[in-house]
Amino acid sequence: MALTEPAAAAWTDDALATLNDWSVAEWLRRSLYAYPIVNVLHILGFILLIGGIILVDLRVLGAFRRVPFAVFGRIHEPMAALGLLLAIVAGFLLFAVKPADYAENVSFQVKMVLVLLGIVNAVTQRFGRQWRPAMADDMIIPRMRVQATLSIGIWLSVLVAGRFIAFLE
Amino acid sequence: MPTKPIRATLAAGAILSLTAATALAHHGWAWTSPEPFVLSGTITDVYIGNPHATMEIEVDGEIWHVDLAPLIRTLDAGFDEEAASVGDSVTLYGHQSTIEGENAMKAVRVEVNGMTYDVYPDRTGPFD
Repeated sequence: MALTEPAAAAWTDDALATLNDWSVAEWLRRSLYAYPIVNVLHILGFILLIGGIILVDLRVLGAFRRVPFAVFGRIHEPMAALGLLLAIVAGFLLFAVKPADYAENVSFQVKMVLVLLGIVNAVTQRFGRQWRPAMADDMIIPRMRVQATLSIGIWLSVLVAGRFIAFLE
Repeated sequence: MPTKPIRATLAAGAILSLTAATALAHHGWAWTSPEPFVLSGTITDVYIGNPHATMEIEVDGEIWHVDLAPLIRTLDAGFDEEAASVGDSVTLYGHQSTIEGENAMKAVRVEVNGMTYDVYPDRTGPFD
């Protein structure tokens, strides 16, 4: 290692090495069935996430207009949030199997940035002032439409970036 | 389609999905040449784990990356942590990457420490 290596890089290297040595990571690395199952859970997580969020976003953009927005807000939105949580937990376990390799995989890096943007966009949508009138009166303001469009773009991009990780290994 | 924003969004989504960079596909066999390829060298790294086993070997001062099989297949062939260590001499039979200048291959057979491991037994035909 060069003497001029910045402290920040050394810190992350240590963190990744510690994660790599985690007993659960070691077990998943060598498991015949647990690793594929965790993969399935990750996929299930993002199925629920993307399936749910796209329907909410499409409703915001004017699809299914005869179905009250509240239906999407009460069913699809929480399911999407649950899916996101599952995807993150399973994703973390998958990451732990080869942390240093994934950390330097460009597609993985892009995916993480996009997931962060997706979460920020979703949280500001869900907890912003526009949510209640939308739920109560089907009142969709223009800003909601912008965020819904961003949401579709971001989560589909996450899907692509996630798939490409394996193709760049 | 009921509204313009929806059409625009779906179009953008389609375009997004299609802007797939020509991926350096180290996945499956599409990235390798169909020609049989043999490589001998010294092991500098061995990884027996998920998602698939890999090796790094040194050949004439250069490092080559070797993809083996997914874990189940690799272990079925008998190739586990005891089979090879850093520093061992190894001969690999498989297929080379078609990407210019890339030192990489996918191995179907590994010869090391007097043993032969067919990690992809249905693909060892050209070498038998």
